[in-house]
Amino acid sequence: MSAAGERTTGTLSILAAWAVAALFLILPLVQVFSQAFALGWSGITDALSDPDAESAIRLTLIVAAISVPVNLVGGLAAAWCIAKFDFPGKTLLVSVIELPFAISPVVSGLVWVLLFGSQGWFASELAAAHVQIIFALPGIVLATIFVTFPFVARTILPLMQEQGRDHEEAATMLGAGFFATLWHVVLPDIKWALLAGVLLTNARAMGEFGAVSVVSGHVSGLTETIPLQIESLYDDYQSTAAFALSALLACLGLITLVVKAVLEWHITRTRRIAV
Amino acid sequence: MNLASPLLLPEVSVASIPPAVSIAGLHQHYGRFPALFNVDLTVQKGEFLALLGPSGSGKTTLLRTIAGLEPNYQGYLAIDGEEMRHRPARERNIGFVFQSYALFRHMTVAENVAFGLRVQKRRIRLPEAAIRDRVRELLSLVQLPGLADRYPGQISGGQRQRVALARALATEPHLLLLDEPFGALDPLVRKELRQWLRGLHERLGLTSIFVTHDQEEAVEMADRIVLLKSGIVQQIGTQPQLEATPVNGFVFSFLGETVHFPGVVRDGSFEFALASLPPLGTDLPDGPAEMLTRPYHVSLTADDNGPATVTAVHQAGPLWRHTVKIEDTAIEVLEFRPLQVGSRVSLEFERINLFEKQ
Repeated sequence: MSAAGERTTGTLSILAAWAVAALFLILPLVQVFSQAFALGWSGITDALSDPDAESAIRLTLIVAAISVPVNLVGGLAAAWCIAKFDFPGKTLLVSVIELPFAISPVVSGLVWVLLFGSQGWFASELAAAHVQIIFALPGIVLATIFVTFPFVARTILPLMQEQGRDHEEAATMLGAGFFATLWHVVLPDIKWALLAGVLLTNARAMGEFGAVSVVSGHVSGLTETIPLQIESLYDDYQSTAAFALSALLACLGLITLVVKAVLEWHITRTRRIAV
Repeated sequence: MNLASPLLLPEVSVASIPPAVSIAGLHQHYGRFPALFNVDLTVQKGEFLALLGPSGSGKTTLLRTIAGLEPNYQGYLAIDGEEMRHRPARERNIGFVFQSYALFRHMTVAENVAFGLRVQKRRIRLPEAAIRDRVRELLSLVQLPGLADRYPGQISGGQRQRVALARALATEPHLLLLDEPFGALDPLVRKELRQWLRGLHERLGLTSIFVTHDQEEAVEMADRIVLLKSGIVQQIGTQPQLEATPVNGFVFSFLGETVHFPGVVRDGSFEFALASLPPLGTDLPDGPAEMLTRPYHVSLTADDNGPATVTAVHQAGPLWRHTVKIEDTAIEVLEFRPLQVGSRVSLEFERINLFEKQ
């Protein structure tokens, strides 16, 4: 094929890619925002100041505020173990970390119902202690943590594997303890990737529907997060309010994506000058 | 001073100064694979020791075990007379230079060098001003005073190596361990750094142990060489000692270019596989054996009835490298004067080393 022909094919495939993106990604998003603004700004403010919507926003933020730090620490620990140590069953552990990606979120939610629900394994103990997990905040947090666990671990794992153990061993030989090594040597090297993983975790924690839906019980104003509230509103034919909340959720997601893109650009730039 | 005292001196010094490193009956495993087998080694204070061997010989494992980075060993390991089993690596104050240098890439050269001083326990940590002075001192010691604010990614390989060394020396360790210190450098820089490192070792009164697979490097730098193969120490000694009394064929061939003659020992006589060479007397037991010698320990004499033919001649520095064919085997011989290509020659061996075949 001639160079000009190659160029034409290249241009055509780029156009095709943009067309698909516009049709399936950008158009729906535009639609969400236009529907949300169907009644103007007042429609939005009304929808967002509704007590149930406020409760949903608050719950979503609480769930994210708990599950993100938990998965930051958990994902870091898991990635560290896998990247720096050899032990039997290592490959299995990598697969287990990816399990939440592979199985349906509904199943992830049902697992918790099976364990902690009124018919579950620990039902009598929980009842005796007057602890409610399912249809309450703890259940929603547990389901969210489970579903979002892979993000931090998967983002930093390749980087940590590439690092090897030399730097930590060098720090050890220089007299540094575990926390000094973690803080001064390991974390600075992976901080951008770690932040990207945290952002993804956060986006998913706020947007998770399936698993949370199973464990929440759909009590409006009490156990509904933003995605669940959107479904309730939509089922209730309050489409403007549903789209207003959707737009809010979409905005949070978009902000996450932009910040992540900036971080990734930063990572590639610093990698290029790295040793 | 009377005549008797020099005889007493060594005894006194052995009693009062413990060796820098003493190892006895050391075993090390990687999983189920033995990495070191029954190692005995004593390193005196001030010594510059080379751990030499092919890859997989256990030399790096031995170095890492001394450092404390491979704590699951069996046997005895003491540093300055103190048993090390329950002393973690971070408390040993051993300078360690990694093959990759392992510089912290997000820290400047000065921050890298200061790291060991800054992570010290608050009780013994120097004040920040003193740390800065010490870093400046160390950077001028390794001849890099202008690079304090650069990042590791912005300096050359040889400079990185010296930064790694300055960092390892910051907390004034008595023992310096170096893993293939010149492996990643180009040959010219390597030669220059060898001399410089040896000088630094003398000046600071260090005890140094370095790992290398390059016999030339070991010979040039080290006081003594520990030759390892398959996790077993083959022989320990100075280069002349090893050259004069090698314990086996591996030691001899690893220490320099070698001419190999396979053969067999029968009734106190070594018979070359090449029938045209006359047998040699030996006290080795019967069985397969080999005669090893250096290319410059074979001398060639023009001889029309000789068993060998010169097939090629090249100049090699002050010497001439001859390729000589005996029956169907070619060997390399170094001579001061070139012989004619195609001439028949007889061989004479100035040094004969006979070993049982391993």
